[in-house]
Amino acid sequence: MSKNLKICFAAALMLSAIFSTGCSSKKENSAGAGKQTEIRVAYWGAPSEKEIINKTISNWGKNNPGIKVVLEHIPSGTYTDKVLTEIAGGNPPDIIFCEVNIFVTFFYKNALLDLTPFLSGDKGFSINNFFPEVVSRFTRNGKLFCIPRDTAPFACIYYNKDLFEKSNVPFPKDNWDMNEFLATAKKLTIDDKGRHPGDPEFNEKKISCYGYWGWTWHNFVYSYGGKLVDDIDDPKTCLLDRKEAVDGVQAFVDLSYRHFVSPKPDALTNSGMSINQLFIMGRLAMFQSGIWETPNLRQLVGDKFKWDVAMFPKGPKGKRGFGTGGSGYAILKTCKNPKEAWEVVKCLAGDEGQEMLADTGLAQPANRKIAGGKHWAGDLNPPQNKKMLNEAVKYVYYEPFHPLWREASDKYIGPEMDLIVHNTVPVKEGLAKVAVKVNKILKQK
Amino acid sequence: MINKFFVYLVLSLFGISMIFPFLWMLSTSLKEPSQIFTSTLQLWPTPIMWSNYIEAWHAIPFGKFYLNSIFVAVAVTFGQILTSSMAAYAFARLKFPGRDKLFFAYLATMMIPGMVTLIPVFILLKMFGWLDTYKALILPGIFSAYGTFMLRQFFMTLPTDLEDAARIDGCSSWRIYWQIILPLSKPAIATLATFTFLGNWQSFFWPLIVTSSEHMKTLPIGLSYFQDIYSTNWTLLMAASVIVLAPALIVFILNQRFITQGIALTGLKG
Repeated sequence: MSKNLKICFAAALMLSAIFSTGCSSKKENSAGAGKQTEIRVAYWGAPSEKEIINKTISNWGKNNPGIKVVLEHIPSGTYTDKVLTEIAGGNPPDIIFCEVNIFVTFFYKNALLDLTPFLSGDKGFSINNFFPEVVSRFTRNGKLFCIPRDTAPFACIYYNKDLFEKSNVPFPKDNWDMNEFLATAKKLTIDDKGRHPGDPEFNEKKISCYGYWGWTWHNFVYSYGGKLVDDIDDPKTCLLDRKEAVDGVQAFVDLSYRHFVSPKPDALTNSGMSINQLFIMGRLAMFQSGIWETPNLRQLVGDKFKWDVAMFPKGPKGKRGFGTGGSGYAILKTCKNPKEAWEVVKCLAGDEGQEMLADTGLAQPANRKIAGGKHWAGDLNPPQNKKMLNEAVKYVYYEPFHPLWREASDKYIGPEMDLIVHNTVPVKEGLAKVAVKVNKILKQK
Repeated sequence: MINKFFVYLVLSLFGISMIFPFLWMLSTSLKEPSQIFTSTLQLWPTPIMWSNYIEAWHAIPFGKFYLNSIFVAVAVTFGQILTSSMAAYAFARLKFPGRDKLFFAYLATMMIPGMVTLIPVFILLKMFGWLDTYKALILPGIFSAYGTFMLRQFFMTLPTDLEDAARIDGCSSWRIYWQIILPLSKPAIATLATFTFLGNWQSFFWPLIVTSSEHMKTLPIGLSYFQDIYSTNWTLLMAASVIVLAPALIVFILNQRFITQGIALTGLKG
C-alpha cells in the first residue's frame, strides 16, 4: 500500500524534473535567437482567417528578418478579458486586433497609441486609400488609433434566386424601398395550401416558406429616419423614444405579427432551426445579415440553388441606414518598439491579407482599391452583387461612442427589445422605458 | 412492491433526463452538418460520420493539447495531494502555538474569489518569468485550502492510539505521516485526487490567461477554437467535446464512490 504511494510520489518528482529541464532548454533557445525585435500580436479569428494571417506574416517575414512576429490567437469569446488582464498584469501584447466596438473599450482604457505621426512620416502608406467612414470610426479628436482591415455593414439581404423564379417574383434591386420589399416578402411567404398573407383563409400557423427574416431592428430605425442617440461620437441623449425610431421598430415587429412574412421568435425557437438552416432548406426566401455568412453558405448551399445579395431597402422617405461591424489593428501605448510594430500593422492590414480575406468572402476590404478590384467587386463567386456593399458603406451608423454603451445595450436595450419582439410590450411603451434608462447611463462617464 | 416500482420509475426519468444531453452530444458528433437542425427529433444519425472525429482531431493541434492537459492535471493533482496532506497532518496532529488560528486563516482564503487574486498572481508569475510555461499552469494550483481542510477533517477521525504506539516505538513525525497516516487515508486522498483532476481538466480561464504560444495551450482552450463570433461548427465541436470528455468520464466512473464520499465527508462540493 505504502509502496504504491511511494511510486506515485516518485513519479511526481520525475515529472517535475522533466518540466523544469524542459523550461531551461527553452530559455537557451530564445537567448540564441539573436537581436531580432519581438512584436506580439493578439488576435482572434476562425481557422480560415487564422491561416490567412499566418501566411501573410510568414511571407512578410522573409523580407523583414529583423522583426520576429509572435502571433497569439485568442478565442473570440474571451478576447477582451484576456487582453485586459495582460495589460493590467504588465505583460501586454504590442499589437491588438480590434473590432469597432471593442475599440471603444480599449480607447477609454487609454491603452492605444496615436498612429497619426506614423501616417505623416510614412510616404509608402496612405490612409486615404481606405473608406473614410471606416477611418472616421477609429479617429478621435483628429488622431487615428487603429488601421482598418475590413468593414461589415449589416446591409445584405441574402435571397434564394430559385424561390423567386418559382413564384415568378422579380429579383430585388438595390434601390428598392420598404413597400416593394414588403410586397416581395408577402409573395414569397406561403402556407401549407399555397396561400399568401392577405389571401382569404391564409393560415399563419402553417407557413411552409417564410419571405424574410432579419436580426437587426437598428436598420429599420435608421431607414425610418430615427437614431439611437443624438450624436454617435458624443452621445448625450437617447432618441429611441422619438416617433421615427418607434415607427421603425414597429415596422420591424409588424413583419412577424401583422404581415406574417417573418417567423415569430417563438416559432423560430420551436422549429429548432437556425436561420441559415431555414434558408439552406429553401424554407426562407430572404434573410438579412452581414457579408460574413458567405463562406458558410458557399459550403452548405453548394449547387442546391442559386443565391445572391441585395442592399437592405430604403425607408419610406428614401432614407438609408445600416448598422455595421468591422475591424482593424491598433498598437498599444506600452509597446516598446512602436516603429517595428507600425511595420507589422501595415502588413496585417495590408493588401495581401485583405485580398486573401476577400477571396474567402468572409470580409469586405477596408481598402477602397481592393474592394473595387477583382478580389471583391469583380469577383464572380456568389454572391455576385457583393459590390453593392462598397456603396452601402456610405450609409453606415456605428454604435454610440461611449464607455458604457455596451453595458447600456446589454442591460437595458437588449432585454426590453426582447419583450418588444415577442409582442408582449407595445413598441412605444418599451422604447420609452429604454430611453429613460439609457439616458441615465449616458450621463455617467 | 408498487412503491418500489414507483421509486424506480421516478429515478429512471431523472436518470434519462440527465443522460440525454450526453447522448445528444454523441449523436450530433456523428451527424452531417445539414442533419443537426431538423424539425424532427432524430437521435440516430444516418449516415454515421466517423470522419467528424478525424477532422476535429486535425483542426487543432489536439495531440499537443492533450499531452499538456494530462501533464498539467496529473502534476497539479500530485502536487496538491502532497502539499495538502502534509499541511493537513500538521494542522490535525502536530502541536504548536497558533496552530488553529493559522488553520482558520488559511481556511478563510477559500472565501476570496479567484477573480480577485487573478491579476496579482499574474503579476507575480510575470516577475518570476514563468508566464507561458508549465510552471505557470501548475504551481499556482498545487496549494489548496480546500484539500487541506478535507484531509485534516479525515486525519482527525483516525485513532490517535496508532500514532501513540508508533511514537513509543520511536517513530518520527515524518515516518508517522508517511507510513501510518497516508496509507490509512487512501479513500480521502482518492477523493481529493478525483476532484482536483476533474477541476483541472476543465479549467479554462487560468490556462487562457497565462499561456500565449500554441504549444502551451490545453484542451478547453482548444475546444473554444471551434466557436467563432459568427459561426459555430457544431458537428466538429461536439466530436471534439467527446474526445475531451472521455478521460474525465473515465476518471469519474472509476472514482464515483469517492466523489460521493468526499461530499459526505466535508459537506462541500468540490
